[in-house]
Amino acid sequence: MISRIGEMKGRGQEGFTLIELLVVIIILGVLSAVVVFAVQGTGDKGSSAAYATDAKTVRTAEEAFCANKGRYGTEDELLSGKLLSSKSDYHAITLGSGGPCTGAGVASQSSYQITCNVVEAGCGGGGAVATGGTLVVGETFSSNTTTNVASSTGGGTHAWWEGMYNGLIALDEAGNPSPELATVVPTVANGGITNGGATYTLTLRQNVQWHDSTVAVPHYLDADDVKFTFEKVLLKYHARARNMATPLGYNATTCLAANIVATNGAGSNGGTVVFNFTAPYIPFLKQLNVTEGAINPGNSIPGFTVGVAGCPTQANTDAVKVGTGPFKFSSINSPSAGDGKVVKNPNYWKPGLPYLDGILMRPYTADAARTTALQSGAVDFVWDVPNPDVASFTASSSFKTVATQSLGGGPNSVDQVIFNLKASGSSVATVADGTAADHPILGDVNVRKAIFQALNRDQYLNTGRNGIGSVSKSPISSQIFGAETDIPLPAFSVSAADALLDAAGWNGPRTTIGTQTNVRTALGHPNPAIADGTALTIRFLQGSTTFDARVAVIKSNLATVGINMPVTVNTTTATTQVFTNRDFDLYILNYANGYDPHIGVRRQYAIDQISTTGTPNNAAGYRNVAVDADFDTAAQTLDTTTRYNLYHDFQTRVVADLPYVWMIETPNVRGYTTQCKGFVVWTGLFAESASCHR
Amino acid sequence: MLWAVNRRYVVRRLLQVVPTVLGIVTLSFALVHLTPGDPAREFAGEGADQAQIDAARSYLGLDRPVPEQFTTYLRHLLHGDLGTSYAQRMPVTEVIGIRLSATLLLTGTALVVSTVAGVGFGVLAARRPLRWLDNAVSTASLLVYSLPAFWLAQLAIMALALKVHLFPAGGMTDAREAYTGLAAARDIAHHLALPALVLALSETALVVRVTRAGLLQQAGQEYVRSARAKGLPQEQAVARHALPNALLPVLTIVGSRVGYLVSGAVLVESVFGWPGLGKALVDAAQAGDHPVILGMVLLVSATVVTANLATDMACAWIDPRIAAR
Amino acid sequence: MGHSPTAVVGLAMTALVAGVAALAGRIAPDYPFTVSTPDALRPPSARHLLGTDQLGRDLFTNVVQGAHTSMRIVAGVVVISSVVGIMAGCVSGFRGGLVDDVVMRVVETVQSVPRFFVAVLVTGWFGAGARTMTVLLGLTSWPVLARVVRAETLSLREREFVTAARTMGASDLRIVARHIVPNVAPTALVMAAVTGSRVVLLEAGLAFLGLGDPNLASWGALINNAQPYLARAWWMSVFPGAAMAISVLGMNLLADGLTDVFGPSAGGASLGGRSAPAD
Repeated sequence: MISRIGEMKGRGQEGFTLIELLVVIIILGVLSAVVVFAVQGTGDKGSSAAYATDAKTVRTAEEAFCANKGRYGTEDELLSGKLLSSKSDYHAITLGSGGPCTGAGVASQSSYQITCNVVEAGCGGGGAVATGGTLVVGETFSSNTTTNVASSTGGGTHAWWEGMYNGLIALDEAGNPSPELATVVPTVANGGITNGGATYTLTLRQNVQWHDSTVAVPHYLDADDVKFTFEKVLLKYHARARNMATPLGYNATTCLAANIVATNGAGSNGGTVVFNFTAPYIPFLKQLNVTEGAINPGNSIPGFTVGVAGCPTQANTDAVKVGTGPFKFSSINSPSAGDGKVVKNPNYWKPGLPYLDGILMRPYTADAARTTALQSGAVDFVWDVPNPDVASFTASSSFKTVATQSLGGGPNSVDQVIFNLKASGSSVATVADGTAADHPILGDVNVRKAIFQALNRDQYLNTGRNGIGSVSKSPISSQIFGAETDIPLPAFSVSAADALLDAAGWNGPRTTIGTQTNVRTALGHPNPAIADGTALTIRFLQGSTTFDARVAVIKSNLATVGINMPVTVNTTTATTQVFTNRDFDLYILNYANGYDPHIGVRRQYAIDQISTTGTPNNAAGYRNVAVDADFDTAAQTLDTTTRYNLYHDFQTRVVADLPYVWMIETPNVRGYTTQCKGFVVWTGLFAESASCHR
Repeated sequence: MLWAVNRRYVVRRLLQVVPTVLGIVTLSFALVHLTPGDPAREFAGEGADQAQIDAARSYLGLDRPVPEQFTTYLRHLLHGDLGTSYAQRMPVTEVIGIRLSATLLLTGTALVVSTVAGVGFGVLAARRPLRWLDNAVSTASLLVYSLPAFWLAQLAIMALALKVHLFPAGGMTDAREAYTGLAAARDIAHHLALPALVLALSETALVVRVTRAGLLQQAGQEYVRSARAKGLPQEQAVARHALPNALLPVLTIVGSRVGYLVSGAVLVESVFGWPGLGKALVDAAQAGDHPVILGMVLLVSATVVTANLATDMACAWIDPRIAAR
Repeated sequence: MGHSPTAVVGLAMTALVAGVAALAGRIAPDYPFTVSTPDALRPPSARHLLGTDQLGRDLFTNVVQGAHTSMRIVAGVVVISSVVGIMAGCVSGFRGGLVDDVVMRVVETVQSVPRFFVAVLVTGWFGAGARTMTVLLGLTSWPVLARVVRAETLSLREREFVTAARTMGASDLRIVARHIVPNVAPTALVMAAVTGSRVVLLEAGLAFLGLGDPNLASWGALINNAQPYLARAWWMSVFPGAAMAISVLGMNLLADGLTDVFGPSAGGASLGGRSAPAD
């Protein structure tokens, strides 16, 4: 081959051949086509940016005029007041009713309008509150054909589709109720709550139209809709609403809830719904917002009628994509695969809302992709700014970030490390009835306490999650009722952890596993199955790569006290491993505590929550009859002090038993361009009153 | 006579495909069914009780013996039915169909660009072997071939999308504007350029090397020399006689390159948020959505088999000696 | 080998990487996963030669131990694929007939199934482990070698030294072991280098999707981890990327150079005439 090349050397002749020329032309053609497309694309962006700048100039001038004169001005007035240096290039200003301006906000929306003079894409008008336009949302979760937020607690489903629905009662970020589809929040004082908290009467709003309502065939919300939703959807399929099944005397086989009594209204329907719990049930009002109890249209699933026995499948409940919310379902996988789209509900019962024409949702599941999408302006709003990027978005004047305790699937979440209290591979039944053998290592509460004290939760927060959140102070999220502050959790102390492990039979000569040279071994361990010299290896099962950095901190912390912690990242089978086979030592979950301990905390400890369903519940396999009694009594206790004391008792008990390490409270950070405003970030109805100026 | 040889070759080649395809189906089916996890639970949805899970199991046929499941699967496959997605609860063909065009567009563009550019640069390099141009092209191609595509992709976004704003940072269409007609095509092309170029880069490097090696080898062959002896200038002798033969190896690797491109697309798609099969694969793998994964493995395998078959046919057509072998 | 500067450079680069991998425990003996908040995101310095990541983990330790991980997987895959490939190729070429047909269909099947897709599945389900990955890639990387070996065996089968051995009553096994295997060794060597370079990239690709072994330092995982910090901490991405590029480039150069040295028959397997499996 070498000689052949040498032979060729002297033969070169100048000039291109025809074929070479052709090839070069084709390459140039392709490249120039690409460049032309690229440049033309940016050209469009250029002019739409110019329109936006022009509109913004006008708006700034109007607000300045308003600040001086108490009203908005005509273009000439702005010019003579030197608030505009020249006439707007693209926009005309029309004054509205001429009333006093009140700055930004709903009240001033019609006081002036700017409209576009040029017929071009990208030139939009808009007044003090811009109407119209599509909000582009970068989603953390992939698109999902499961669209009914009443039949699922999936984070993706809720983040994508909650805007199509309403609940009966809205909750603010702290969990305080306000009326939504119900006209008033029931209280003991107004007679809405009777029977010591066992009976709730809700009066429904009238003239609320469903998305499928037409002028010819109007379709209004009525009491049967609510009963149907509870019977056939919520109590059957919503993992947290199912908490109410037993107290409501629900029959899950026939899908009938005789204790819910619906009385339809007359003109434009509405009506009243009475919920007769078998015993007082206090958390109820926290379970009626759009996340916990979205309302579906009644009798909308073919073959299923309110009050008639029969259970639809989850897929059946999903087929009906109709709600009362500000946005209507439009499409999935359009304009490109993975996209979802909702459009403005023109008949929304809150007059004037929503301002937006629609929301286009596009999945950016990779953190880096979500960041670049927001940075580059491809999207207006992201649900979840990746932790490392929060600081730079917060610092930028083009973006706004807001932390909220709410995630798509449920609010007030806490990272918890889960101890498998029983031997790996124990059946769910034996764990639940208490006959399963203890976990050979973690069955010892002192080892659990050692691990708790070895974990540097400040480091976990600051390094593993970029400081976003706060270290847990109690087993109940500090954001909700019942959280205790005077039961100290075991403090971070390497020496205390070392001492506990030494005393627990793990003080043999250190050994080497891989590159870790200080791994503890057993010496005189009380469990005869653990021979002297057995290395202290505790397996960590990680169900999602989101936890990578955080688990790295845990691994490093445990290595410091001589524990070897091999990690398995097992996205698909993790839940099976934990909830069916119980084949793990440590596991990590982010538990949504909900707005009441009964909703999100009970399920982590109650014996009846040791089950095979994949919903995050009693993963530790914790079993304590006294704790169960605390919860059950508290749910039936209207008196706040008594209720508080019951939760105090629960917390004292679990802090002694340590089935979990309560790591940190994990708010989520929403990020959006400052071109848009009016978001209510803690709910899926976040864009109900949002608007964008471009 | 020649055609007779070719026809026998064609038939033989087609017959060979049958056991291969059967092997692929069996292998994928086994892979998917040997894995842990409970699809019925997945299908029944979160919070389903045991009765619902059992119902889902029987609906999906998972309570049948495995051999029966296999024959059922084969029978459905013959009818173009790939089963139902556990996670999405819709036909697998639909799940894949939605994503297929995006991946075809991306990989197809990359295939064309890399072939054209690769042959072009290969010819340039081979014109004067071991001179600066050849050295530059060869070194660059080797270097490019050694860099991971996802790394290049990230750098490309940083430089060309975020710093220079020449290209969009991701996605296939502008989410803000609903373009139609020519404007829509332009929009897609604008989004396509960067991922397609990144994906095409390492393949270009490969084609450069194959073209160059082929040309150098052919240039030394007897027939080129005799063409030269007949007074044809070297350039023309190479162009007219050597190039077609030198391009044969470029053709033969098209089949395997299709496989490489689709795999490369998985990574490039995930960086660029390109809504193709790659993203669907990662989603499906995380959701334990067996039928979708199985369908995708089958689809890609079938594409590779078909591409190999097509290139073999094309080679036999261009150079009948291959068929006679 | 003196004829080919390419081979020398390639060998030197590969040897460097392999040497670092072999001596990883000496060069960087520390535990690579120690998190240290005050040391987070430090640029290269005397204390941290290649800087630190967002958790304050030392990158030098991780890059060096990453070489160990990468080369161990490469070695395992090369061994498995060489053994399977040579055996399959020899048997297929030497026996011919039905055996040949069957082996070639298996080759075609394995070659058509997308390696990367299967890897995503298997690691997604069985958990990402270096051993799983080695076996998986080993069992899917042999078909090209088998094809080339088969072709060579076919041509060697009728050569005089083989027929001579046969007339002297040597068993098939002996003929293959004595005469065929040594003759296909150069091809296997070239293929080993080609396979090695692909495996480095495949491992990194899997780690990029979060499917790498979380308990071993790994270049792919480092690059994956560096993604959110590209603009802030270039060293997090550049050093592991460079280490990877050096080893891949080294093995590619080596394959090229060896092809030059051994002649075009071995070149069928190199980059220049790849007919590699679908990745």
